Amino acid sequence: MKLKIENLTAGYDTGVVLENLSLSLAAGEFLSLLGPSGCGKSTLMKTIAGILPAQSGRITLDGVDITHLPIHKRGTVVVFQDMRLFPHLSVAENVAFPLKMQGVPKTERLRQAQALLEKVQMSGYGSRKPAALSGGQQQRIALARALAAQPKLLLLDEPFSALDENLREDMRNLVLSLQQEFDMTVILVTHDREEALSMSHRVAMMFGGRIVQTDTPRQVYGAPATRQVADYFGGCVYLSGQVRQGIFSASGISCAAQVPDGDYDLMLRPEALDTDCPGNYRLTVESVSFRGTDTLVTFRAQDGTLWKKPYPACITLQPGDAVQAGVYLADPVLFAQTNSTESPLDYSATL
Amino acid sequence: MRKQRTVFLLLLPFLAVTALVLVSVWNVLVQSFGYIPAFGLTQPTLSYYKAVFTNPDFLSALRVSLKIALWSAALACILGVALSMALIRLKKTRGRAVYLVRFPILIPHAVVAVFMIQLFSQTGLLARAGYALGLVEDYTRFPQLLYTPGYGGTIAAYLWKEIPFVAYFVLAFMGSISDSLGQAAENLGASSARSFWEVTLPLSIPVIARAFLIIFIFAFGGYELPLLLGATMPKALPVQAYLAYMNPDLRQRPLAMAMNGVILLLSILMSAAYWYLVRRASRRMEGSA
Repeated sequence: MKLKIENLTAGYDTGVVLENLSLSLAAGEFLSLLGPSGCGKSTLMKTIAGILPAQSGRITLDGVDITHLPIHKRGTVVVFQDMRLFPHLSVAENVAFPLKMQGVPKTERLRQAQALLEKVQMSGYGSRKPAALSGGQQQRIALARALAAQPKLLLLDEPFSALDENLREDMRNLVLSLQQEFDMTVILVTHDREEALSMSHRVAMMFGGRIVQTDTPRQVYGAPATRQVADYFGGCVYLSGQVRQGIFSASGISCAAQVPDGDYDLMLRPEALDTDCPGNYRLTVESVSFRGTDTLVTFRAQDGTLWKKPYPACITLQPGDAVQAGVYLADPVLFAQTNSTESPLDYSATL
Repeated sequence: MRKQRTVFLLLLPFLAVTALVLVSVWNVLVQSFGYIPAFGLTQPTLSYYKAVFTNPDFLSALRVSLKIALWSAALACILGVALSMALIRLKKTRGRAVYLVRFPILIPHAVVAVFMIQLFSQTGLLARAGYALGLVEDYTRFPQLLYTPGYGGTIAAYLWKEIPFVAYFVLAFMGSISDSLGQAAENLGASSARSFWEVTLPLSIPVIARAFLIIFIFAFGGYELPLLLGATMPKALPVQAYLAYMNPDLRQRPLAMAMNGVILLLSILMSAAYWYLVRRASRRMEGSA
């Protein structure tokens, strides 16, 4: 294992944030720490980087215990959300800074900085000061500077959140191509679902200082371990029903279920609703909302369940239309019903 | 209209004080050129400035004041920055530690002079303690720090007040640099010492320079400490200027005013140099290298 975190506890004067957290990462792996604001993902990143001391537990990197090593001896480098370029140094000097700290002679470090600037498509900007660059350009320089340090582990702390949507896409592609080229082990801290799912080999879902599921993006999205994980991706629909002798049934829907008999909620994503293929599931269109690139249609099922499903912008459905839809049930996700009347968490507003 | 009137009323006290200062400065300058009709001096002349610049007492007073200002400001900045970094490293940037640092700033200079005399004079507490412990044979063998032409006592008194001033003045700024960019430097492989030299210190120079300028100008124009702790000769410039001002021969008043004019001019030159350096530094940071 490249990185191994065992029973890590860390936090601030105000209280413990991470408690007995464990996580492993293979060499060359790209892992995203995904969760809502305040869930402890940045705390975990800071503890790995040594910015925040671990209260207990162990962190090993390449087999070396780095738990109590000072920041500069860890071999981990963070690309911060606010870039933190040194304003008194030129772009080339910024990129060459880690090499200077390693004692690389000036001409050699400036040559390497130039090569890295080319990698991030910023050659020609070496003599400028960071203040003369745009946010996206600064992010590229921060990335080049991190690469110059040749980190054993690269930590990206929500690096794209300050960029606009077009730039974000470019930066994601750049990071992925550099990660592959340099075969880097990367942890991306983000609260952006799409970013985590599209970039990572694995996604670690964090809530309340705990990692509740670590799996491939498809598994995390398609087979969430908890309702929290399911709800984080938004748009979930829960159909209440029962499992009897390996069959789940609810509101005219039934499917095989390998769980003990009992009351369950079947978690379905909007994609499971197929209005083009008539089935037994009856719905009425409640509202149609045009959003530019798509149209969001809200349906109410006969059992009162609300579905929100995006369609191409040219959809012809109108409020009041009755629809008979099929429900795609390839890999049903069932959660045992609890007595709690609490409604599912809705993170969509914070995303 | 009403808003403008409110703004004007709020600004009025400041404008009134500024006007008084400007009138005083104008008065000093006019009198320094030998124009005091009440004393029968009606012909503006540069001769008083020529006189002060050829007067050996004035020149040695100027040297003394520059020396006091330079040593006080430089040492206070070096030691104040060190104190500030120590507080940052110990994560004591607020609360009791900062109150303790701030305490000497609140003590008036005249009281500091009394402290210095009680502690460092040859009959002071340290001399007595040294004698009691057998470290000095006699009180008179205790090193003379006060009333010497080197003005060590005056500089020490300024340091006692200004080291905490610099630490307090730069603490918040250096703390924020250290927490963000200093941390980024360490994250890129710099030890905490290199992070300080390569990032935190260079970026804090404008703030430290501002503290230096404030102390320099204050110590250059300071009267009480050189008077109470300094030597009889040479005198510090403000002491010399005050004595000239108090000269019973009123026709010598322009000479005193010329000395004040020199103090004023040097202070303005220092401020202008500071403004120019800060502007150049900020332009270099914003533009291309």
